[in-house]
Amino acid sequence: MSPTKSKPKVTDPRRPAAVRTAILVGLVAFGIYAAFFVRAILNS
Amino acid sequence: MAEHATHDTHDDHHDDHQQSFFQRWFCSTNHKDIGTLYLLFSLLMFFVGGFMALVIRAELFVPGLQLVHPEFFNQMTTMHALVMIFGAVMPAFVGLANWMIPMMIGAPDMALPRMNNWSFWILPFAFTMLLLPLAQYVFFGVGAGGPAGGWTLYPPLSLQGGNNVAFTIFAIHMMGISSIMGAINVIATILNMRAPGMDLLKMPIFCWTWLITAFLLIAVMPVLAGAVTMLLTDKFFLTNFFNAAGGGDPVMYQHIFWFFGHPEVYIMILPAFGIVSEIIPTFARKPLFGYKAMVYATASIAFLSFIVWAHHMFTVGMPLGGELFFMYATMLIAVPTGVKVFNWASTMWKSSMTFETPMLFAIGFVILFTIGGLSGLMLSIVPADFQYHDTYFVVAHFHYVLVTGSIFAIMAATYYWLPKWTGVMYNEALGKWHFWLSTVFVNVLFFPQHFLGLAGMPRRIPDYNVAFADFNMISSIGAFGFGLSQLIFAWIVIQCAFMGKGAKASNHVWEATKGLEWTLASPPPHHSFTTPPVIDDKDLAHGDVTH
Ligand SMILES: [Cu+2]
Repeated sequence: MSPTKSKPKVTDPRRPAAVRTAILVGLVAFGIYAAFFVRAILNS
Repeated sequence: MAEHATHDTHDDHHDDHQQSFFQRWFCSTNHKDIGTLYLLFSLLMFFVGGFMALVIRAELFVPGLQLVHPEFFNQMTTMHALVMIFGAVMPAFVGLANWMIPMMIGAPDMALPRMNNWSFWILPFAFTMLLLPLAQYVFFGVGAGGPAGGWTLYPPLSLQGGNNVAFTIFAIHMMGISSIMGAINVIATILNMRAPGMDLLKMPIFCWTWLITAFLLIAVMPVLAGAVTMLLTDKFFLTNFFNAAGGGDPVMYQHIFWFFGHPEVYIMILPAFGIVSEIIPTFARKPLFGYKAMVYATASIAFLSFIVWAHHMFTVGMPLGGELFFMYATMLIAVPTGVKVFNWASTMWKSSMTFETPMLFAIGFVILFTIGGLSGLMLSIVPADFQYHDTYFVVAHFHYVLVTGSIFAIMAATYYWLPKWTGVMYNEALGKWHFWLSTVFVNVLFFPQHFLGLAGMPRRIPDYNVAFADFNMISSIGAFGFGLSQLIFAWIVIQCAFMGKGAKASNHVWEATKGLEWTLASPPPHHSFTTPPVIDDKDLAHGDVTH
C-alpha cells in the first residue's frame, strides 16, 4: 500500500492539541528565562 | 534530492510541483526540505569551524609564534567552539530529527511547519552576526576581530574585549530561540502526531533520545540566554551581575553557564546514542538489546546532567561538600552510560554482522566515545582535576566525546539514511576510505593531547614549552589528515544529493532495516503519511515490544 495515496486533509484534527503542547512548552522556556533573572537580581 | 514521487495529495497551502526555487527553499514548511537545509547548513559550518581548527593546529605545529597573533589565535579557539557546537553539531541533529522523526512515527510532517521554517531561517542570520566581526577583520582589516575570551564567555575577561561581544550575544540569543522552537516542534510532534498504535514505548529509540534531548533544550537554552543577557547588561547598561567591584559575583556566571553547559553536552550526545541504537541492530540483524533499558538510561542521563554542572569549576574554590557532591554525581553518570555501551555490545554479541560504512562509524563511535567517557571519569575525580583542569587533557577528552562521539554518529547517520533521502546509494568504497582515514587521523590528532595535558600543557595558548613539541607536531599532522579526509565525505554527499550518481536505492535500502520510515519509497514522496499508517508490531525497529 502506498501511504501517499489518500484524500487531502485540510486541517489535521491533532493540530489544536499540538499547538497547546507547543504553547505550554514555550511558556515553560520563557518562565525559566525569567526565573534566572529573578534569582540573579536577588543575588546582587 | 529534487525528485518527487508521484502523488495526488497536496498540502492546502501549496503545490510542490509548481513551487519556485524561492518558495520551496525559503518559504518551506516541509520537514524533509527543512531537514535538508539544516543538514547542508551544518556541513558548511563543519568546514568553517574545521578551517579554524586547522589555523589553530598550524600555529601549534612547532613551538613559538609563527602564523597568527596571539589575540587572533584566541579568536580562533573561541569561534571554532561556537561554530562547531551551535553551527555544526546541533543543526545536524535538528536536521536529522526533521527528516526522520515524522517518517518514524507515521506523522505527515512536524507539528508546526511554519515555526519549523522560522527555526531554520533564524540560523543563517545568527551565524552572519556571529562571524561578522571576525570576517570584517580578516577580509577587510576593519575592527579588532571576533570574541577571544573562550566560548564560555567568562566575565570579566569576555567583557574586557571590544564591543563585538554584543554581536556574539545577539547571535547566541538567536541560536537559542531557534533551538527552543526546534525543541518545541519535536515535543509537539512526538506527543501529538504519532500514528495510532505508535505507543511511546514502541517508538524507534532515535525518537526517544530526541524527545529527551528536546526537554533538555527547553530547560537549559533559556538559562544560557539569561546568562548572556546579564553579560550584555553588565557590558552596556551599567548592571553589576558579575562585576565584583559593583557587588556582583563572577563565579555566579560560571554556575549559571555550566547549568546550561553540562546538559548541553548531553544535547549533543543523546541523539547520537539514538542514531547508533538504530544502526547497530540493522547491521547486526538482531533487535536492539534492552530497548526499555535504553530509554530509562537516556532519561537517567538527562536527569543526572542537571546535578553535575560544577565539575567544570572544581578549581574555582567551592566548599568541600560541594566538590564531593559534584564528583560523585558525575561518576554516577557512568552507570546509565555503561548500560548503553553494554546494550550495544550485547546487540552485536553472536549476531551476523556486516560492516558497511554506517556500521563502521557506529562501532567506531562505541569504542572511541567510550575512551572519551573514561577520560571524563578521570576528570571527575576532584584531586586529579586540580592537575588536569584547563590542560590539553580536557581538550583531548571533549574532542573524543564530540568528534568521535557526536560527529562520528552524524557521519554514521548520513551514510545510513542518505540513500533513503536521495534514492541513490553512496559509493561504498569511498565511504570505507573516509571511515578508515578519519579514524586513524582522529586518533593521531587527539590521543597525543592526553599526554600533553598530563604533562601540564595549558589549553588556549598559541605558544608552548619546547618540551611539548613532539606530541604537538604529531597532533597537527593528524589534524590536517583528518581535515582533508572530510573532503571525501563532502564529495560523497555531493555525488548522492546533487549529481544523483550511484545505484538506485531500494525502499528498505539495507537488508535488515525495520520501521515505518523504510516502508516509504527512496527518496520518499514530498508528503508522506498524510493518512496515518497501520502499525504492525513486528515491523518495529526493536522487534518484540512485549518484553
Ligand atoms: Cu560537564
